[in-house]
Amino acid sequence: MSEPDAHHGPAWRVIAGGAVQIVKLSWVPMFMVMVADDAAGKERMSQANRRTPAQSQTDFLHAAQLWASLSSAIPALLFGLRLWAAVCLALYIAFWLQLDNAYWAGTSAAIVCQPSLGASLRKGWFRMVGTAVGAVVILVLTACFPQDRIAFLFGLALWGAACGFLTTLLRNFAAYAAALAGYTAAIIASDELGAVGGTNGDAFMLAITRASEICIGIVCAGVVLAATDFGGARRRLAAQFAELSAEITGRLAGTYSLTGPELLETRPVRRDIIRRVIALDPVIDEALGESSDLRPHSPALQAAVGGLFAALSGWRSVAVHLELLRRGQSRLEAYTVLENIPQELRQGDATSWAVDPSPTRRACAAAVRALTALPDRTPSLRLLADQTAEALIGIRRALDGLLLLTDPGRRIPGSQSARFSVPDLVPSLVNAGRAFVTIVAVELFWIMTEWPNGAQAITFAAVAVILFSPRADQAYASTMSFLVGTGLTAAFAAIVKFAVLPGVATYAGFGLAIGLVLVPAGALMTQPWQAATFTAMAANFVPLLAPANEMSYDTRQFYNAALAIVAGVGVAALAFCLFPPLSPALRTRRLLALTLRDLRRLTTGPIPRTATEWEGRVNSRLSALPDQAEPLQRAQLMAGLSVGTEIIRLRRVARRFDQDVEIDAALDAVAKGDSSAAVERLAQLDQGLAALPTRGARVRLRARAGILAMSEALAQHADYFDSGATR
Amino acid sequence: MRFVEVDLFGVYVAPISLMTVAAWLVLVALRRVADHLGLLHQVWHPALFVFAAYVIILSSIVLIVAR
Repeated sequence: MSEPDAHHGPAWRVIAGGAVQIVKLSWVPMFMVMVADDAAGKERMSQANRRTPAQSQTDFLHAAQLWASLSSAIPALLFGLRLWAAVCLALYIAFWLQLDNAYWAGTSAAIVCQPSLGASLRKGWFRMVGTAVGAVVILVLTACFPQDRIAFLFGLALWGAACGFLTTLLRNFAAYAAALAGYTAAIIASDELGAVGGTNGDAFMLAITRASEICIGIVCAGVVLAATDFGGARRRLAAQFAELSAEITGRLAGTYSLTGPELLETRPVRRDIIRRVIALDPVIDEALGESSDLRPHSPALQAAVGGLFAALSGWRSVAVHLELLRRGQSRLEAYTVLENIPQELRQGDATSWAVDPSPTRRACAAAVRALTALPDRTPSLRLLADQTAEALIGIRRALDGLLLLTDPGRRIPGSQSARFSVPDLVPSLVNAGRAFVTIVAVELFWIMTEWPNGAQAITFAAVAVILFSPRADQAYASTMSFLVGTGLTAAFAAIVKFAVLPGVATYAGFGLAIGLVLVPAGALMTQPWQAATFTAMAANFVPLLAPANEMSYDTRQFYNAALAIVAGVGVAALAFCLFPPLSPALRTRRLLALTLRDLRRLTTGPIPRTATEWEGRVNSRLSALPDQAEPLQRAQLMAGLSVGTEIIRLRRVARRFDQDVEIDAALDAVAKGDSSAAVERLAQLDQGLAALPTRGARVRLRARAGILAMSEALAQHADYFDSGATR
Repeated sequence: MRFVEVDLFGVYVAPISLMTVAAWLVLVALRRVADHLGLLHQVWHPALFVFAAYVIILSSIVLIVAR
């Protein structure tokens, strides 16, 4: 498709200059020529109208491109309109009820509105819980320290620190509720303290009013979003579960067809899939927020994620074992196992699995039965069969979750959920310390300078420092973007407040005026580019404008309020700069070290009844691994999961067959960080089990397969298992 | 003492806000020089060092204006 030449080229290029050339549409040159309105222009217009078929085709393609761009912008624009409608509704109700600070209702609605519906509804629910807790806490603080300003402010800072701790420790929306409890308390405290810093006697009424305003905003946002957007998180989650399950199963089966170096190539693929499984977590929470019927079944969804990790662990053991086997033996055993995996599972068709996972679940169960019933020949074959069966059991658990999503009417069989535990306490403690220091610093500054709007600065410093804490290494950048957004919003709010609103007499006019800022800000916050900046614009516009039934156009008051908000967010950004969160590399190293410590503890003490608790602990650490973690580090954690599970099983079996001395010697070497010695002792244990009389032959062969899997994992990741030990 | 509100395009702003902006501009220039000389690589906590420098600059401006 050639560009039009100079003679036949559109006239607007000459007239309109370079800027217009970006948009190459047929109506653009015609429009520009008409604007030119001269004889030469008319001549050019007639030339432009004489278009060749090739030019028409080009124009059609360009028009299609423009239409595609506009279509992609429509959802963003619709979200902007939803946000604006929610804020208008919240403000209208708050004005109608004649609440004193109605703008908190609008602010809440703006903050609750999230581009994803599930996130909004669930966030709204948690926000209400957080609001109630925050209101109660500030009342308790006021009651405890009615005449003691210092103790009250210290208590507020401690509460902020506690919320900063919990917001990092808990996950997703529970974390958001903890954050809200912190800054709701700060909002109410700011009103209580006022300009002079004395806690007044209206604490109870202030708490009731502020909590009511915030709840009005939450309900309005929920109603507007639920009525206009039906969300897609459930569908997305189902598609991701189906895709991951199918890919893991297909690749696991495909591993049996690979040889030599081809097997090594499965490692990066596996490590990338671990990353994708970790990324399921926020989508699960969105889906839970979107569909009320899913909430009681949230353990089943967590178990589904655990199932995917188990499947990856089984696949890892199979691939590592096949790498180490001799070619002839490897082929023979691989063929034996592969012929027990149904064709449906080998192909791994994600589309059909997403539509109806039931046949695949049945196929998994049949394959597990067939693999378990394989004749007992060698530990090697047993290892392949058992690990494949475990992987398929994991896939079946994932399909249970998928069935819950695709067919809620079906009864979900009770699946054992692996309990998720706290991965690491230190990031939470760092965030708590930062929140405490920040709030105390602003409080001291306020007391020393007697700044009338200092209490508002405390509120916004608390909001930013608590809210952005869970973002770890992104916290500083996000807070800076939020600060820039807040500064821009102050300018827009000043224009709307002093140039537009004085000429507006009706609520409809007021609504249109705030729409000038809220609609574009809402639309732009859905885009990945500078999302935090536009989120700040949407969230801070209403409190900066501070609309009231009786508007006051006091420039000094506006300037002080704007300065307090910008200063509060600025102090939070400074806090993230001076007290940075743990780096992703350090967090990853800590998660690996903690898992290794727990693994070594498994070698002594009482034997856990099942491996569920261990799996839950490692799964939570896998989920907490930063995106920047090296693929090898993810693989090490996965190997730790396998070794820990095998240790629990082997200790039980060894006790049953009176092999306590041998297993203790092997596990002692693991605890001392001497993998090569552990492998040698495990080989002795293997010989001991093999030499026993016929009693429990099947169990012993399984144990020997476990010994083999554990030895291979210890040998493959010896650097990790031997690290940090005191021999 | 010259701490009187400043008329900024019709809006009266506190003098400290203009001083903070002025101190920040000075800091940007000084940080570029320090970066160029590799000074920030020699300090234990660069962010804390830059913040301390900012406080010193701001205090100096306040003292100069107060004279």
